[in-house]
Amino acid sequence: MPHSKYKFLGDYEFIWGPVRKGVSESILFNFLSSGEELHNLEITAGYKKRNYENVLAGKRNLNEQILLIERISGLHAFAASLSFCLSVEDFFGLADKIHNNIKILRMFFAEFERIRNHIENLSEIAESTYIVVPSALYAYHAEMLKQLSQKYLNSRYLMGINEIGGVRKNLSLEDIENILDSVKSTVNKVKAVIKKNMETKSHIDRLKTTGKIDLKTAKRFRANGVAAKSAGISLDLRINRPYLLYGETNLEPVIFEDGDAFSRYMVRIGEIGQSLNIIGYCCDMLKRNGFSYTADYLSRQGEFEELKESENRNFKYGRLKHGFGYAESSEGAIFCYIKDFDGNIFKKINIKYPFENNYKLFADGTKNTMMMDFNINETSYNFSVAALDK
Amino acid sequence: MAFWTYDGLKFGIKSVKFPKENDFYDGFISSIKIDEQKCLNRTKKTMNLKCRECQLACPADAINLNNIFDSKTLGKVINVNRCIFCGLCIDACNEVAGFGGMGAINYASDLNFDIRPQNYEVKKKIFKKSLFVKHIDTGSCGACESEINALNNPYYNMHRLGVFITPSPRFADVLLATGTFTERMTEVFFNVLDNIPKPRFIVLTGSCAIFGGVFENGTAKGIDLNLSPLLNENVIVLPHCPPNPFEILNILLLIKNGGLK
Repeated sequence: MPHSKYKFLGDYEFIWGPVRKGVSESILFNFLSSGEELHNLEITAGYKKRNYENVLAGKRNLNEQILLIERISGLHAFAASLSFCLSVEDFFGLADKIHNNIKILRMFFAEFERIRNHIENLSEIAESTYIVVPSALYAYHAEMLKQLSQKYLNSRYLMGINEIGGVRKNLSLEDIENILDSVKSTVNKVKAVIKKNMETKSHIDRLKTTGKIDLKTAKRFRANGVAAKSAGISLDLRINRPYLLYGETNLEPVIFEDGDAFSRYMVRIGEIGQSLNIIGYCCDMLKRNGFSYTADYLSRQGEFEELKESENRNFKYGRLKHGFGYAESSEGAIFCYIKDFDGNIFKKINIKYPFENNYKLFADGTKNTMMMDFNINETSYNFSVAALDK
Repeated sequence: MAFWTYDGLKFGIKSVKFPKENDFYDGFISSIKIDEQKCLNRTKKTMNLKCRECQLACPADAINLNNIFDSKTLGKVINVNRCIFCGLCIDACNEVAGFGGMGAINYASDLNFDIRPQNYEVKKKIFKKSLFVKHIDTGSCGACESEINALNNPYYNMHRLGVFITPSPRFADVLLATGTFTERMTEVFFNVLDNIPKPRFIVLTGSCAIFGGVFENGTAKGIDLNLSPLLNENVIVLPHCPPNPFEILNILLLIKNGGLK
């Protein structure tokens, strides 16, 4: 909303951005404040718009399109590439033919990414309330997860793992068990830090009632992901519209009703435990299904190539055909819509991240909050400007 | 709050010994290298290329197999500055391995780049004390930022080495740019650069800042080093997508200690 509607005598405007403090993404905030209190916030994005649609349309094959989609927002690389792969598999009618073990592996990595992102965000939240030791401990544990991911998957951000019809990395059951053990051990250490953090009043008091949004506002702005769950909206694609094998996991939604930074913090903590359970479930299922190597499940490539050729022959007649896929990232739902397959690539790809709605909600939620709490408020949403600008 | 002090002390020192020792973690990757002795094109001893699978698979045009025949250009088969670490060449080479190849391409873990900035003449130490770094996001995906932020965690702990992130360009010695140079951010980049006192270094961090990375096209591209404001600047390129914190730290320490080749 424009400042003129809210401006009173003594209020002043100031801008912050697009280059901000420390290491942060480029976005411009325009504040209207009377000193202590923030009356209105205008957000200007688009400084780093990379026109991903045009770039995607110029790629040579689907592998290159996956690589680019992973790099729209690097912190949500796996969830984004998963939504794209699911939409391509939907387009080619491969969805029912994917082996259950591949679906389980994808769930495993998606939850691994969620845990890493949440722990990293806990570190940022702790830093925003100026408690440095827990912030450093969280950051250290998040670093351990990144190193683990590089050790087994050759990427610290789970890039280059998904491919159409399967996963690219060849892992054994032993590797999966090792990853699970390390994640379990890391999460247990994080839980110990969380427990002590909950006893730190200066931390909890600053989170409570900060950036409060009510249910009505959250619904009006179509809040998504953690922001929605913290305001009492049960919005989780893994539960509401199960994909892969999430339907079999009997997930309970992690919901809080206060809508403040503390609720968002608690949703993240709840989801870390939930994701660890899913990873454990995935490992058990793989053992039960007699999984030994990922490479055993890549035999669909030939079938996929045939399907691609057939689509290429019918390209002129099948232009109305489209594919749709979605995945729940750590911050909310990522939707992917694809169309116009020319034999090698999809000419039209549209990806929607949860941040577009949440930014509007954030701008509204900061009204009449304290300037001092702005950093807490912002980190509790854990935005990706890259996903917003695309 | 006292228990946090106690906990912090009890947690102990977790930092690596780098740069005194190259004690990288398990699975650390700094580059992708080709073992020419295993490459089919070399073993067949003919000037005609027999296998181009890796070159065809590379999404960043980083591989030029024509360089494999000449001993002078052997090190330039994989262009380090364009490699985005996707691993597609390794997959392609391993697939060929099933048909008589030997898996010539693999990950490596050394920190050996050619990083001499342009217009930089001799080995000399410019900065006497701590090094202050200003970061600017010119269009990145967020992964490079996360890696730079990781330098503050207890594992890398760059403060122990006298390297700090500064909020103001006025105090900075190094400008760390991440991401493709979008039209709007290029203008902002030069504004920030104008405010950094000389002597100064610019580090183009990640493939996107160098040539646009996977986004390389008309609108998203790397910075043009031939632009007049950059002609007399010390520009260092730090490839990969995203570059590992060890690599970023290595570059910053080389600038600080005057060890640039």
